[in-house]
Amino acid sequence: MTKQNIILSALHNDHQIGNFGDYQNKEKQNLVTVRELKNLSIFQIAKFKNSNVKTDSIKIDGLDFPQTYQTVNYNNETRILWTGPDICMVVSSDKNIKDKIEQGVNEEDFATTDLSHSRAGIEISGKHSIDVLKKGTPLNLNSSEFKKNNCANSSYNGISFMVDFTDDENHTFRLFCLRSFGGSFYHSITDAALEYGYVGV
Amino acid sequence: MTQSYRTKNINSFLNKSKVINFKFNGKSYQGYEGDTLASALIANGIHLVGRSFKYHRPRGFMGVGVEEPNAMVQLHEGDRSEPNIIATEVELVEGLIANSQNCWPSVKFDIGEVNNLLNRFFPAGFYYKTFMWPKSFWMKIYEPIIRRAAGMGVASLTPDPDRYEHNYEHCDVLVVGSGPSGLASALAAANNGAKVILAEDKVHFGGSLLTDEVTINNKPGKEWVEETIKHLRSLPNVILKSRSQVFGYYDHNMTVMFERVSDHIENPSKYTPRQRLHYIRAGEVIISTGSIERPLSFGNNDRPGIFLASAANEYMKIYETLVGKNPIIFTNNDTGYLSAIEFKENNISPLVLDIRNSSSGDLVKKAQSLGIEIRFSSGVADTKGHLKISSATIGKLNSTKDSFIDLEEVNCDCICMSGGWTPTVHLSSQSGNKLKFDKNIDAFVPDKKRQKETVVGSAKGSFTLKQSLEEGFQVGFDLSNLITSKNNKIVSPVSKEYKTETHEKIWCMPLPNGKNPKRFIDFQNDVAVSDVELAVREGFKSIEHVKRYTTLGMAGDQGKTSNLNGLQQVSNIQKKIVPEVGHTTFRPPYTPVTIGTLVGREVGNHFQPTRKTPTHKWHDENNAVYTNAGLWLRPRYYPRGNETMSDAVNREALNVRKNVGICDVTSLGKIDIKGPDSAELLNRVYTNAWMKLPIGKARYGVMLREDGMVFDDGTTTRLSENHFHMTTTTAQAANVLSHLEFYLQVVWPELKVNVVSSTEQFSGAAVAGPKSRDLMKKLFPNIDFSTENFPFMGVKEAEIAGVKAKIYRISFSGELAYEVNVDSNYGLFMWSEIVKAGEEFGIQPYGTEALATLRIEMGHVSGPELDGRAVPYDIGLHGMVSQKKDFIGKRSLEKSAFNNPERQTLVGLVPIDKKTKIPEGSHLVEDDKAKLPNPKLGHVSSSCWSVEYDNPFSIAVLKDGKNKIGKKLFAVSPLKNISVAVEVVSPHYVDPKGERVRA
Repeated sequence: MTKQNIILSALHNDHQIGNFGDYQNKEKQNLVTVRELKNLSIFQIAKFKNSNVKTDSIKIDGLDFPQTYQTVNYNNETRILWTGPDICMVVSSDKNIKDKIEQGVNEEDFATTDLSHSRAGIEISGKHSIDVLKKGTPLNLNSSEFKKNNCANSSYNGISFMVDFTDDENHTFRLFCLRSFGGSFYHSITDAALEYGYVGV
Repeated sequence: MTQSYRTKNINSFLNKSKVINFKFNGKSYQGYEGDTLASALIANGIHLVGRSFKYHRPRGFMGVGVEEPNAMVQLHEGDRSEPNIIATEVELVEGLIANSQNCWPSVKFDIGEVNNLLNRFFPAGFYYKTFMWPKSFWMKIYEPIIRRAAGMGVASLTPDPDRYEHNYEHCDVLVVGSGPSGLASALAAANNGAKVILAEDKVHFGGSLLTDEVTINNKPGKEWVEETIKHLRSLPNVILKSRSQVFGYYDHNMTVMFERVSDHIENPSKYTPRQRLHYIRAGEVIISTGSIERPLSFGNNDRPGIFLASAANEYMKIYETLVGKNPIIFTNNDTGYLSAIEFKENNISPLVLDIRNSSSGDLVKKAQSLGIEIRFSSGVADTKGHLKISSATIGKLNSTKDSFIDLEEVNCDCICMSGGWTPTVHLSSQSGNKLKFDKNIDAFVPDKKRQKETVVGSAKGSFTLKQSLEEGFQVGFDLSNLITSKNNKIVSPVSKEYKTETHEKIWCMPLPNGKNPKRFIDFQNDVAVSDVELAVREGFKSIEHVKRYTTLGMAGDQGKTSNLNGLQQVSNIQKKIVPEVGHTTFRPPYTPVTIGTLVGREVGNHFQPTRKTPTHKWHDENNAVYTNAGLWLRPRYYPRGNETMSDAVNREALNVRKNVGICDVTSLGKIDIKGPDSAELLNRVYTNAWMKLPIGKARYGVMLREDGMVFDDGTTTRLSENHFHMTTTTAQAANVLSHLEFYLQVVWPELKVNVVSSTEQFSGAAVAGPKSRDLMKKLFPNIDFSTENFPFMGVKEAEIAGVKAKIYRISFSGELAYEVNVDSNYGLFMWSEIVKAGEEFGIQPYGTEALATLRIEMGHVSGPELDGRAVPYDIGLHGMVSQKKDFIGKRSLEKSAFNNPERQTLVGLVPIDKKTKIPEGSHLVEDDKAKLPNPKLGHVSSSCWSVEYDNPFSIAVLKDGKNKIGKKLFAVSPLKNISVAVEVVSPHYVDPKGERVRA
């Protein structure tokens, strides 16, 4: 038995493939697309409170340590999300990201914690994806306030989550919540999408 | 029945090509698309809609929108049945079913009308003076009758099948109301680049511009509205919301809006919400909520057929509906004449009674030129007609207008009354705006604002079109410019309107000689002039007290049509001016909102989120019954066949004692602690020493609050020099993390430590029982599980089929036990492998109930004992308290009270008969027959059926517990009416020396 065969992702028992809700008689591009985010490495990097190291000099996988709220620094495989002053979340499909993080930050000044298995991830896209979010989160998602490559922590129908706006053409958002809340979060998101019709892929 | 009360107004909003069938009180009627239930019923000649709240008087329509106080109906049937719906707000859809409410057996013949005959016994506050005797009548007679009489309609007892949604919006400028000032504000703000939301309660935008005879830029008002709305729709920075009522204004410029999404759609998709609640956070709020026409008080002014004049006008102009064919217009101002003119233009000759001595306003002149009969210094004294008005007693008023000179009875089928206009100040008042009285309009208007809100148009008393437009354009520009700085300003257009004269300051007619008919002020709550007089006479001087004694302006109506008339009446009686009387508090919601809308999607499975472990599906498949631990769904027990809970729990617990069991412990809190000062942090938060804990070892720790009470306990493992893995109880996981964060950020920022929850990162399984070592050997053949190599509190890293795992030799059950943790993605795999390998050892899963049994037998404390009232000494943890080092709560432990030897301490209890279960929460007393108050010596915290000794066992906290071992007491549960004779024993009922865990 290989490791891949025995992995069960956070939403394995919840995510369904197919068309749901009011999808009939609608163009596919007008539907919401819902996808589970799997096999991502997720690390929290936090600078110790009394460390004198300046995070603006830190680079991880060639990316700057985010300095201001909502900032996401990114390349093709890795996105580094600002989650607080001198704290960020690295989300990456790069299998070597742990090594790259260790090259970028030292144990004397930073705590790096692997949280890859502790999050459930959902990606939603489509022109109504923002409407789905507005049904549950009090975040200001107006284009003047929340732009592509912005992130934020908030709650959705009572569940804490992190949103990462990855693409403003397809209106794509990555949503992460604590793994144990994954089922409730997924069903809350998809229930909100029924009005517009959604495709589980 | 034909729609015999239709006009021929081609400019209405009805679509006459689409006939709508509906039922009212079981009879079929027809209306048109665009009708409301109210307009369709009136068009069919139906005025009697329901019965009043207290007196069960026949009631019809008075208004045309949210101001309607009378016409509440029971809408729909079955699951969707909904009471107290205002008929003027219900759009007609095919198949609509409505029924009268608060009447029996029918609206035409209502037994409850006896209350009206006995009305002298039911004045304001009658319930404070009655039902006092005989005392025995209260429970069996008075209360059941009152309960039966309470309320208006009937709520459905079955779940509401419709969907309701919530939505969060943010905008620069929220404009509430789309009359002339609202439209002007929205247009100006949107044109200046602001993100604008324009909310309108009605189906159509435009407010008074849809009915008033005015022009803007030489176009009829209605045409200007259409052009403006079309333009606003084309702008990407504007959201237009009709059928949407902003009903609440809260702090930080947060407003809430109720949208009727699909109530008007015949067959909406099952996924389309019926109604939506919007939370709108606005940079600036422009309140252009307009004004509501004030009714007049005269004898029996509540009969069906008595309308507000503006409502009659709107029914004619918007809905092509005549409220009557023989009308009397009764007014104290010029605007009442609008309806008179509209009647005349529909070839109906009204009689106008004007309280004033004269008026030379444009509308009066026009009415005169149309040949309408006008009687100045006149008024209505009384009306007749049981189920609908049939005549009015009218007359000339004397010079002081406090009595009638002569009276005559004239036939009529409707009265359209106008007492001027009351600015709708509810929202601005809710926002914290202090109101002031404007004596020119005899009404309260907004004054000093507390939040970012600006009131425009008639909502602030600017009753002319010119004023409204100028204010709207100016405010819309000014506020948007604060945000956008674009300086795109629109000049207010030229408008033309009728000039009006001032009103007469009289709203209540004198009584006809020798008669004392009810003159209603608050139609919804059946409050008449006499009730207000009574309240003041009985000493209720504050307007807030008058409101509560009489119910004036309360409930769903919130005094829309009654408030000012009530204040005016109190002012007249107390001989004060209205501002001295003051005003009552306006509270949200401005209009009634369905419970479904408030709840939104948080119903059924979405009622509250749940947390599941990676092995949840396995538990489902193995018949787990769950318990909520916080939000976690934890298996409580796994019944087999026809087992009861007790059977299953005992089987599971016994199997752990005899063989081996497996328990999902994923939900236990886990905190990853990293940094050079991690050990120092632990040393400060735990009562015992941590600096010298070797790598690869775990230690049990107890945390105290600053007051010395035990906060939480758990084991913490040193994974490397600067890396620790802390576990907490499931319930306290978040609190412990917050506790650590607080101290690190606020108290000890000098420590180089970071803490983060890793609860979700790992899936955990506790493997417990005498055969657990054999099972572990089979699962991990490369690990030496001998006590020498892997002692109690030891930690090993291992692999299970290539998956990295950590094995902790820790135990909550008191048995030889191991806890295996893997990354959560492999949780189900790990669990399945353990179960598969454990078959030959008789492995069974055990839930939280069996776990509780096991720990209670061992005397291990948990939530019931760590209830925030115990110091370590109380629960046998004094050995955990270091005398050498400092820690949180140490100084508090020195309090003399905490060292009193008579404190309640942990003991075990066994029933003398070895059979009777001891209820948790029972009080411990020496004599269960003693007179009350019987001194309480302690209480039972946890109970179980001891599977080791096959008898009930409990742990308890008992005053001077250690010295009472061997004594007989009574565990008394007044709630369950049980008294159990018990013997006090050691709390460590099984394996008191702890040999099993160290085996």
